[in-house]
Amino acid sequence: MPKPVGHPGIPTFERPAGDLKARFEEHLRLAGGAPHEVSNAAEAASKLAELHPGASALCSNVPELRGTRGPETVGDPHELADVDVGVVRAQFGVAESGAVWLTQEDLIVDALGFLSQHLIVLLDPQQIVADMHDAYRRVRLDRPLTAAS
Amino acid sequence: MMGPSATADVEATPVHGGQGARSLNILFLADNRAA
Repeated sequence: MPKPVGHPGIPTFERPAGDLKARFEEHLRLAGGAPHEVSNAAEAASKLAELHPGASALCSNVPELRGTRGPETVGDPHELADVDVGVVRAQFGVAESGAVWLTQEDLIVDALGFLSQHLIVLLDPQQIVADMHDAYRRVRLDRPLTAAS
Repeated sequence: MMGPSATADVEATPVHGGQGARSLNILFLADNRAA
């Protein structure tokens, strides 16, 4: 019987210096996304209208932006097939990749993330981590969102 | 999620929206729920 050994330690990795938000924006653009500054819900609504002036079906999961329907009205994910714009809030962003972390609790109906023709994602700029090492420290798959932070 | 849906599988021509959203816009807005 081999002698039990402890798990290896996780080292702290060197990270490039600089502003996390700037790095997030740079990598988001490289991935094909676009960042926008808004200071309140009214500006967010204006930006949404500016980005998608022809949108008629908006499904919003966030209180800051009103959609033409909410996820609570969706009985079958197929009902989201006609959604022009889906709106969700990400738990956090990752600077090294420009990615945002979304769970089923954020999407409420998973199909919103891939049936929507366009996605608007709200992100608190204070909730940007440097890399996936930090991201994995934030992710708690065993607990709901409300207890994750 | 990293960027909008994108593929260049067919003739190396980039296409957005093949399997998901055609565009992804991030709005930086503080989350007041956390306050």
